[in-house]
Amino acid sequence: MIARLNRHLLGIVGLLLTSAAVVAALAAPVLAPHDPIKSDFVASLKPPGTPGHLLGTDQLGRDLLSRVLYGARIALFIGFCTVLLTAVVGGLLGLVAGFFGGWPGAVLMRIADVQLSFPFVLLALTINAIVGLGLRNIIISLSAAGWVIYARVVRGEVLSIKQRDYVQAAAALGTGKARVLFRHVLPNVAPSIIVVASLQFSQFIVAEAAISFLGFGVQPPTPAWGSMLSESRDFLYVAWWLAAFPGAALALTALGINLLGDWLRDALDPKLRV
Amino acid sequence: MQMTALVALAGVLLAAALPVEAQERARAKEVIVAFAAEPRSLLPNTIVDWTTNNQLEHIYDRLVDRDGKAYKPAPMLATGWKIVNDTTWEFTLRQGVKFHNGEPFNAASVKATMDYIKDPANKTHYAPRWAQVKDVQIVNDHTVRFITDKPWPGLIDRMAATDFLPMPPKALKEQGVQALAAKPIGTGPFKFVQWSRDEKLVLEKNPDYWQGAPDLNRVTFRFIPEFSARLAALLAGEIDIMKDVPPHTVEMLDKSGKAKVRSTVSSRINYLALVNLKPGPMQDLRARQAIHHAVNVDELIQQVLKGRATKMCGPLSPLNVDYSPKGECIKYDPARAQALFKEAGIDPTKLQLTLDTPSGRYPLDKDISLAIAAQLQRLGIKVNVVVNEWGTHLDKIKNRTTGDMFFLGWGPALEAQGTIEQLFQATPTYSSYGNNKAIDAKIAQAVTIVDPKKRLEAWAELQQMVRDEVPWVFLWQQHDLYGVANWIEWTPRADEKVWMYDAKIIAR
Repeated sequence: MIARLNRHLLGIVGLLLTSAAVVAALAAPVLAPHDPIKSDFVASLKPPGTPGHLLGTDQLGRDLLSRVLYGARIALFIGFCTVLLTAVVGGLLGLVAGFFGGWPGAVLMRIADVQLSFPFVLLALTINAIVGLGLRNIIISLSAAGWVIYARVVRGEVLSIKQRDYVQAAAALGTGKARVLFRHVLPNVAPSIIVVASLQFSQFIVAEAAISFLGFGVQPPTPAWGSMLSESRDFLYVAWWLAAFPGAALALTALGINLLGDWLRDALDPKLRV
Repeated sequence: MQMTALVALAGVLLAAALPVEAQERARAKEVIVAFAAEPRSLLPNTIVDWTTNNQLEHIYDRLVDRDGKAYKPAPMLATGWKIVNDTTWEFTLRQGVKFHNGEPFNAASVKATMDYIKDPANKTHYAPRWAQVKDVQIVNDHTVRFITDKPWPGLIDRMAATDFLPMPPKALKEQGVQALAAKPIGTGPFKFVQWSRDEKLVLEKNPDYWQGAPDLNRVTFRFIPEFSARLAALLAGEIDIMKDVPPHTVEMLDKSGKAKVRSTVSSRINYLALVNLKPGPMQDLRARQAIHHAVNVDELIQQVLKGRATKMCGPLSPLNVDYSPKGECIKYDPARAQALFKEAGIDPTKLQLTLDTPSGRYPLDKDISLAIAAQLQRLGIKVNVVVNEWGTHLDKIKNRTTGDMFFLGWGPALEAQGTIEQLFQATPTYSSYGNNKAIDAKIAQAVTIVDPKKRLEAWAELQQMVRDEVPWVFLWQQHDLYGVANWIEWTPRADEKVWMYDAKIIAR
C-alpha cells in the first residue's frame, strides 16, 4: 500500500517536473527576459541575482535564464521528434518483422542485433559525424541509432499476440492481413510502445546533451544545454552558474520524464494491476 | 576543545601548503610542464608543429637561436655567420660540443642533417622549406657553407628557428632513423629518458651541456588537452608549469598562493581571414573594408579577452624584425561600413556569411568568433559560426573549403617572409587571400633583396599594400599567459620557446 502510494508520489513529482519543462519550452518567448543569443559584452559573467539577469550572464553577456528556457525548447523538441520518428519507424519495422516473419524479419533482426552491439551514444555520435552538424541532423542521428529498441520490443510482443485466440479467430474468419495487423495486433502492442517511448525520451535528451557537449550536434549560438555545459568548462573557476543552471535543468528534466515513464509503465502494465 | 581547534587549524594550514608530491619535486629539482599535446614524432627536422618542436628543443639545440629581447638571430651551435656571395652563406660552428652519445658536433653533423631533410624517404615537412639550398659544403671541421640556387637573404631567419636542429651523423648512419626516433640523441641541455605514449615525456639533466648544466635535474612533459583541466592540475600541484591560462582566471590563480601568472606579449598573431580564394562577397574589396569597419577590435580585447591582447593594425606585429610602423589603423566605424556596403551594392540585412573557428586552440577562440558574429549582427548581417575540431579546421583551410571568414593564429611570426609570402598569395598551404598580381610581383622581388635597408623598405611597402587590400580583419598579438608554480623562477619568451634550461628552483 505504502509502496503504491510512493509510486504515485514519485509519479506526481515526475509529472510536475515534466510539466515545468514543457511550459518552459512552450512559453520561452514569453517567459525569457532577453533574447537568448543577444550579446552584451559589458555585462559579461555577471553572477546570479544581478538586476535584469536572475541567473546571471555568460562570457558573452547573454542572459542565462533566457538561454536555459530556450534550451528546454531545443531539448524537448529534439526529444519529441526523435521519439516520434523512432517509435513510428521502429514500431512499424517490428510489427512487420514479428507478424510476417520469414527472411525479411530475420534480416531486420540481425541488423538490429548488430546495431545493439554498439553503445548508443557512440553510434549516434558516429552517425552525426557522417551526416553533419545542426538541429535536423542530430534528430536524424539519434533516430538512426535509437529505432532498434522499438523494433525489438514490438516484434517480441507481436510474436506472442499473433498466437492469441482472437487474432487466430480473426484470421480464420478471412480478415485481411493488414486489417488483422492494425485492428487487432497494433492496439495491443501500443502500451509497450508508449512505455518504451517515455523511457527513451529522457535518454535521447541526455544523449543530445552529450553529443552537443562534445562539439557535435546543435551548433552555437543556439542555446542547447549540452553545448552550454561544454562552454562553461573554461569558466568553472570564476562562474559556477554557467555550469550549474543548464546542468540542473538537464538533470531535473531527465529525472522528471523518467519518473513519469516509470509511473506510466506501472499504470499500463496489466500484470501489475490489482 | 582546544585540541579540536588545533587539529582544525593544522588541517587548514596543510590544505594551503604544497601537496607532498610538489614539495618532493621542488627538493629533487624536478619540474612537470603540461602541454596540450604530445610530440607527433621524436625526430627533429621532420614535423612542423609548435608543440612537437618545443619538446624536442630540450634534447636538440638549434644552429642559430634568437635572443630573448629583440628576437634577432643569436649564436647557438653556430658561433658566427656571414654572406660570402649572393648565393653562399657561411657558418662557423662551436667547438668542443658533444652529442649525448659522445659523438662530436661538427660540420659533418650539419651536412648529415641537411641530407636527412632532403631525403624524400624521410618525408619531412621541412624539405620544401629548405628547397632553395642546393648544397652544404664542408670547408673544414668547423666551417660549413650553404649554397642556394638564388640569393636568399632570409636563410638566417629560417635558420634561427626550429627548422634546423643538428643530428648526430654516426648514430644516424649506423643505427638508422627509426632508432633515433625511439631514442633521440642531441646536444641539448636534457637527455631523453622515456616516452609513455599519450601520457608523458621524461627528460633528465645533461651534466656536460656546453652552456653549463641546467638547474633542473629532470623535466617531464605531460599532455593535457584542455585549458581548464591544465588549470585544475596546476592548482592541485600535479603539474608545475602550464601554457594558456584562461584570461578570466588570471586573478584567481594569482591569489591562489600556489602559482603565479607569467605573461608576455607573443609574436603569435590572431586574425580573421576574409577569404577571397573562393567565390562570394569577400571578393569585393569594399565588402572586406566594410566588414573590418564593422568589427570593434578594442571591444573584443577589453570585454572578451579582458585586455590580454595587443591590437595590431597590419599583417606584422612590432615584434617582427621587418615591422613597419607606417600606415593607419582601420578604425571601428559602422557608418563607414554601411556606406561601403551600399557602394558595393550589398544590403547587409540580407547578407549571410559563414565563419569557421577552432575551439580551444587559442585562448577563447570560439568566444571571440561568436563575439565577432554578434558585432556583425548589429549591422543586420547574419553570421553562421561553424565550430571545428582543430584538425578539421586546418584541413578546411588547406582545401579552401572554409566559409567566407575564418579565425586563425599565426606564429611565432618574427620575420616578414614567413607571414607575407605564406599568407597573401594564392598557392601556399594556409593562405586565404591571393591572385593580386602587384603583391605577387612585389613578394617575388622582396625575398631576393640582399641589401638589408632595401629589403626592409620592400617589406614596408608590402605591408602597406596588404593593409590596403584588407585580406584580414587585423586583430591582435596574443598575450601568452603561463601559470608557474611559486617555487619555480622562469620567464616566458615572446617567441613561444618554452625552455626549461632557463628555469630555476627557488630555494624554500
